[in-house]
Amino acid sequence: MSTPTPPGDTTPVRAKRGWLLTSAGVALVAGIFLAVNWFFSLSSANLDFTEARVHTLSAGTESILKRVDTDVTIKLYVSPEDDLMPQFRPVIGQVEGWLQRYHELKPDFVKVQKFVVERTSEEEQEAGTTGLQPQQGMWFGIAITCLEKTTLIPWVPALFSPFVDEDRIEFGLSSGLSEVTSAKKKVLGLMSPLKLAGDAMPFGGGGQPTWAIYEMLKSQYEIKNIELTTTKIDPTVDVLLLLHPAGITDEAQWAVDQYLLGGGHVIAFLDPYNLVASQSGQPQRGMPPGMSPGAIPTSSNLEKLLTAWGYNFEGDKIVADMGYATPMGPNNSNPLLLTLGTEGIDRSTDITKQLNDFWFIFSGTFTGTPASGLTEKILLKTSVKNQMVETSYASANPGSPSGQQQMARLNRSFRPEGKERILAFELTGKFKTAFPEGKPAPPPPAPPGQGGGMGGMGGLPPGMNFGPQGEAGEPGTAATAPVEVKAPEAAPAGSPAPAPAPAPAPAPAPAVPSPATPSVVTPPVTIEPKPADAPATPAANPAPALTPATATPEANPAPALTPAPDPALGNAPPAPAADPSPLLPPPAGAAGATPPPVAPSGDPNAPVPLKESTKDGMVFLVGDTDMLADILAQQQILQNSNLPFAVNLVDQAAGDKDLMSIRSRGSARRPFSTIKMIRDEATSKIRDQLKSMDEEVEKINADIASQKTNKDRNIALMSGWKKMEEKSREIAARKYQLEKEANKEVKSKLNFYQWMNIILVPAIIAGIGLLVLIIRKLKTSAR
Amino acid sequence: MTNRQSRPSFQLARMIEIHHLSKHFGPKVAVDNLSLTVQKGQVLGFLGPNGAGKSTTMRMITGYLPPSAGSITIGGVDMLDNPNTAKAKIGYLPESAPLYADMTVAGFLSFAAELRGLSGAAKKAAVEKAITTCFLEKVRSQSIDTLSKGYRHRTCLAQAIIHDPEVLILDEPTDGLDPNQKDVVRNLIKEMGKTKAIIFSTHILEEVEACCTRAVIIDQGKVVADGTPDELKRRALRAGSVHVKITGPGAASLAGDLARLGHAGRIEDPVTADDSFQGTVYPKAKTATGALTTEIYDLCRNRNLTLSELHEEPGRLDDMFRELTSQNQV
Amino acid sequence: MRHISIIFKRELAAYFNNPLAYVLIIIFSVLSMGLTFVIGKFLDLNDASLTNFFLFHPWIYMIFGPAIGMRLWSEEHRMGTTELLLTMPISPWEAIVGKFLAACVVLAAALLSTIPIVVTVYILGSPDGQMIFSGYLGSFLIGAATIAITCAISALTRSQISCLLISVFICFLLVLAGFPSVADFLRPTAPWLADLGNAISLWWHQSEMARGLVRLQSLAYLTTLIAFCLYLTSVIIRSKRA
Repeated sequence: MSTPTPPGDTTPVRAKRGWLLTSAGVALVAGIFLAVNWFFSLSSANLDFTEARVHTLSAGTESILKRVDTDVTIKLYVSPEDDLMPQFRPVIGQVEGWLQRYHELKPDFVKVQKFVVERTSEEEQEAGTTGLQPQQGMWFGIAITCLEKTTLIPWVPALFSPFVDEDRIEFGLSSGLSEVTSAKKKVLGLMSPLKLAGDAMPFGGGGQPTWAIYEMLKSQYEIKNIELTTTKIDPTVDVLLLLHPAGITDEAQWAVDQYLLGGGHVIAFLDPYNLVASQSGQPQRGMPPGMSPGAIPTSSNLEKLLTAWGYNFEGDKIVADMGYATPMGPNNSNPLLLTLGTEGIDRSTDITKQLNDFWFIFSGTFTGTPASGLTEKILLKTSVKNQMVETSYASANPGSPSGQQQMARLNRSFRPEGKERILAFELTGKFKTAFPEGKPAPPPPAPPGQGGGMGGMGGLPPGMNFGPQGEAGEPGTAATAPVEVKAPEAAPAGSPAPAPAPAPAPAPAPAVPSPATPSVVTPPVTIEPKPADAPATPAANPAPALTPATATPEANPAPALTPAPDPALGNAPPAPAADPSPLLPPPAGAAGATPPPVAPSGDPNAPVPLKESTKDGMVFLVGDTDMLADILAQQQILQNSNLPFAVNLVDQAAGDKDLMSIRSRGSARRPFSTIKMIRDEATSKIRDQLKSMDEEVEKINADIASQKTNKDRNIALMSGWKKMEEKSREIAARKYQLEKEANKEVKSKLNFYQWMNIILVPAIIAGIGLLVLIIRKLKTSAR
Repeated sequence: MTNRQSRPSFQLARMIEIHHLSKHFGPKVAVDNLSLTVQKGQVLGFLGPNGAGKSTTMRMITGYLPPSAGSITIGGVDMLDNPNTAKAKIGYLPESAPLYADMTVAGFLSFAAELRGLSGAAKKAAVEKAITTCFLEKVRSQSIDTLSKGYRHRTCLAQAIIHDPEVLILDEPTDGLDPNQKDVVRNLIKEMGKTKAIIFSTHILEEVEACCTRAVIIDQGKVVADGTPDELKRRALRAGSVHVKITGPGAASLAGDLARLGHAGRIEDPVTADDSFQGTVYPKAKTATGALTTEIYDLCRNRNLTLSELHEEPGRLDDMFRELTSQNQV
Repeated sequence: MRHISIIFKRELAAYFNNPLAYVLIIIFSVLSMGLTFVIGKFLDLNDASLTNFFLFHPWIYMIFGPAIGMRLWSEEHRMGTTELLLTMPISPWEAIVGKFLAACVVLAAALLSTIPIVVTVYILGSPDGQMIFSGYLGSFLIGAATIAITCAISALTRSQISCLLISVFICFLLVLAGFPSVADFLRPTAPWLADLGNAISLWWHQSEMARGLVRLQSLAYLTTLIAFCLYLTSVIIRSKRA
C-alpha cells in the first residue's frame, strides 16, 4: 500500500469521457436536436420519389422562371384560419410551400408576400383592389403582378383536389407568371358552332357557363372567333382551332386550306355524334315560347380537306371499343365511352408523354394513309377490340329498356375488327391544296335559321353519371335520351336562332348527310316542358340530360331531340336577313352560331390561291369533340387528361412548350388495369352464351315475319308472343345466372389475391420459425 | 494513458491499485476512501458483512460503476481514462453469475471470447480451454436456461477466465454451490492465483483460509483488517489465550499467581474448587505464541500441580470478523 | 465496429432463437395486410399505389416497435447481464447501437414480409416504383424511431411490460400528434400547435413519404430522433449505474 497518490482524499473523478452523459450534456444535445429540427422545418427542400416528379417544380416552370427578368410579386391573400372552412386550412401550408419553391428558384425577382385578410381591414381593401373577390366571405386568392399586369388565381382551393394527390397549383402559378411576364399573347383562331364562351341569355334567363377549355385557352391566348362560313383566315392567326365544325362551308374549308398552305397550324376536333350539339335543340329555360332554338348538326367533318390529305373520317359511325370500355358498374361497361389505356397513348411526343386517362365518347376514327409529302404521327388510338357501329347507338338511353336492349344487342353482335384505329393524329409536311380548281363557289342561300345552336349544354347521356355522389341521378330514371340522330336533321330547318344576332344562314347541305334509312324513327314523343322544374340552369346541374322528364322514366323511350312539330316554327320571328352583325365582332362565343351572310365570291384583291405549302404545315386531327365538354373533361372524381391534351396541342402548334410539361402533370392515376381485364374476360363469356339465345329470338321473329297471310301471321304472332315471353324470361333468368357466376368468378379471383396477401407469408414464416425453434430445441436441450 | 502503460516493469507486479476510492449513492456512503493494492500472485479474500461495500468496490474495479472519487489502476492502466484497455485485463464473475439464458454454453463462451478480441482459431482454443478448466464438457451445447446452478456458475466463471486475464474479480464465486463444487472452484482459484492477481469476495471464512494469500475485511466501506489469514486470526481477541485446568493442592489460590506471570493479562471465567482451578488466561499483549503457555507450564511443574488441561487458543477468523464488524455496527 | 457487429449478431440470434420475432413478424404481416385489404378495401380502391397500405403502418408500429424493442435492455437488466456486458472491453454506445440494429433487422424482416402486396400491385396495375420505395423508406424510418424510443424506455426499467406500456403510450402520442382530425381540432385554437404536431408526428411524416414526398425535414427529424433516443439510452444506462 505504498502509493504516491496525491493527498486529496475526495478528489472528484475526472470525467473526461463522461461529460456528454451528464445533465449539462443532455441539455446540450437536446438543444442541438431541437435546433437541427427547427432549421430543417424551415426548409422546403425534399427528395421527390415519384416517377412524374409531382412534388418538384417542373422543367417548364424552371424555364418560365428563367425568363423572368423583372420583379414579379406573388401576393397570397387569405382569411385568418378561423374564418376558413376546416378543409381549406391545410391548403395554406401547401400553397406557401409551393410559393417558397418559386421564390427559391429565382430569389432576386420573384417576391412572395402573404396577407392575412381580416374583415374590414386595410388588407381587405388592398385585396379588393387587385380584383380578388371573397367567396362566401372567405379570402383565398393569389395575385401575380409584374409591372402593370396582374393575373389572378381567384380561389386557390379549387386547384387542390382532395381525390388526386397532385394539384394544379403549379400550373396555376406558372401560367399566371408566364402571362404577366410575356409581352404579347399569341392569337388563336377558333371555329366552332358550339358556344364555348358561354352566353348570357337574353330575357334575363340563366346563360350557359363558359367551357373550361375556353377559360384555359383564354388565359394563354388571345382568342379570335372565326365563322364557319369565312372565306379567308388572317395569317396573323397563330393557331387555328376547329371544334366540331359542323356545317362548315366549302369556302371556309378553302380558307382553312389556304391558311394551312400559308404555313398555318390547324387543330381540328371532329365528331360523328356530338352530344352537346345533340342537346342543342332542347328547350331551354328562359326561352320564350316560340323562340325554340335550332340545333347544331351532330356530325362534323372536313371531308374535302381530309380526302386531299389521304384520310377518311366516317361521319356516321362511332367506334365501340371493348378494350377501353368504361366500367359503369359491376358487370356493366360502356364500349362507346372510351377510357384510353396506356397502350393507346403515344409516349414519344411531349404532347401526350405524361398524360393518362383519356375519355372519348361517341368518337369517330380516321382511316387512310398520308398523301405524299406528309408524315403521320398517331397520338391516340383504340384497342384492337373495336368495331365501328351506327351512330344510332349513341342515342340509346342505357337506362330505358329499349336502350338496354340496344346495348345488349351491341354487346352480343360485337365483332372486333382486330386492328387499332386512329383517334388522334398529327400530320406534318408539305400539304397540297384540296381545291385544285381554286376557290369553290358559294352555296345558294338557304332558308334562314339553320345555325343558332344552343351549344354548350354539355350533358352526358343519361345513365352516364360518373362518380359516387349520384348527383346525376339514377341511370334508370333518365328519360330524355337524345334518340335517333337522323331525326333532328329533318327538323331544325326552321328553328330560329335565339342568339342576339340571328342571321340568315347559308345553310349548306348538312355536312354529314345521313344515309341511314329513316324507317327506324319512332314517333317523337313530345316532352311537355314544365317551366317550373324543367331544365334547370345547366350551370347548376352537371347532368342536365336528366332534368326534363324525370317524372316519366319509362314512358318516353324516344323523346326526340327536336322540339317536335314545334309551335316555335310558326311563331319564330323571321330572322332579319340583312343583319349587319357579321361585320361586328360576334358576341362572345357566338362563333359559328351566327354565320355571316354569303361572302362575295370574287374578291378582286384576292391573291393567287396557293397550290402547295410554302412552309411545313402542321395539322392535328381528333375524332371526338365531346371529350372537351365540361361534363366529360371536368370530372372531379376521376380526373382525365382531356383538357391538358387539347391545350398541349394548341401549345405545340403555337410553339409554346413550357406550360405543356406542367399541365401534363394533372393526372397520375394508376388504376388496377388487370382487375378490369379479369372483369372483361368474365363478361365476354356471358356475351358468348347469350348470343345463341338471342339468335333463337331472332328466329321466332323471322318466323312471324315469314307468314304470308294476316291470319297466319296473327296465329304465329300469338304463339310467337308466348314463345318470346318464355324466351325472354329464360334469357333474363339465364343472364342473371351468368352475371352472378361472372361476378363470382371475378370475386373469387380477387379473393384469391387478397388471401394470398394476408396468409401466404405469415404461413411461410410460421413454418420457418417452427423449424428453427424445433431444431434448436433438439440440439440444445439437456440430455 | 500511455505514460501509465509505460511504467517500469517492477510496478506492473502491482496489478490492482485502488486509491482513496469512494462511492456515494445519494446520501449513503457505500465505499469510503478505500485504498488497496493487489499484486501478481496474490489471492485476496474480500470479507465483510452484507452491505459493507464489497460488491460496490468490485463493480468499481471492473469499471461497471463509476466511482464518486478516487482512482483505479489495473495493470498500470487507469480505469477512468482508458476503460476499455483496463477492462480487457480483467475477468469478472459478477454476483449471482448472470448469463444470457437463450444461448448455449459454447455459444455464450464464444460470444465472450469475441468481445475479448479473440477470433478464429485462438477463439476456439480459448473456448475449449475454458470449457475444460471449468468442467463444462458435458453441457457445452446445452442451452443455458436448462443448466443447474452449479453449471451456470462455472459457465460464468469460464467466461471470466476465457481470455486468461491478469486480474480476476470474483464476486462470491462459491455461492450456492454444493461442497464438491465449492472444492472444485476453490482449487481453481488457488491454482490461478499463482499467476494472476485475484480478488474474491465470500462469506465463508474457511474459504479464505483455504485459498487466500491475503484477506481484507471491510465494513461500512472501510478497510478494517488487512493481512494474511494467520495474521488476522491472531488479531482475534481470544487469540493466544490459554485455557487451563489445574488440579492439586493449593490450586484454588492459583489465580493470583497466574495473573502475576510475566506474559499473563487478565483471567476470565475462573472456576476454583477445593483442589482445582480452571480458567482462561489472556496474554498481556499479543506476544510470541507459546510464551504464556511455557510460563504456565513452568509454574505448574514448579509447584507440582497437575496440569490436566492446557490449550492455547490459536485465534479464529470468524471471531476476528465478528469482533471487527459488530463493533462498528453498534 | 467489430464490437457493434458482435453485439448485433448476438441480439439477432436472441430474436430468432425465440418465438418472439416470428410471432411479431407474423402479427405485423397479418395486421398490415388485413387492415389494408379488409378494412381499407384495397382492391376496391382501384389505385395501384401502396399509399393506403403505408398509412396503416404508423398505427401498427405504435405497438409493434415497442414489442420489438422492449426486451433490448429490460431483459438485460432483469437477468443482470448488463453487468457482464458493460464490464467487457466495449463502450456502452457500441452495445446500444448493436442492439438497436438487430431490432431494426427484425423490423426490416417484417417489412419484407409485406412483399406480396408489392407483387400484387405490379400484377394488377403499373404502380410508381419510386413511390413504393419512398413509402418503404418512410415506414422503416418511423418503425426504427419507435424502436429507438422503446430502447430508451427499456433502459429505464427491468420490467418488459412496463416498458411496453410506457413506450406504446409515447408512440401513440407521437402518431396522433399529426393525425388530420387532431390537427384540424388544434388548428383553429392554436395553429402553431397543429404545425408542431405535424412536425413531431410519425403519422404526418409517413403520410408525406407514402406519396413520394421525402422532405429533408422528415429525414432530419427521424434520424435525429433516433440518434437522440439512442443517446438518451446511454445517459439512462450511465445514470442507473451512478
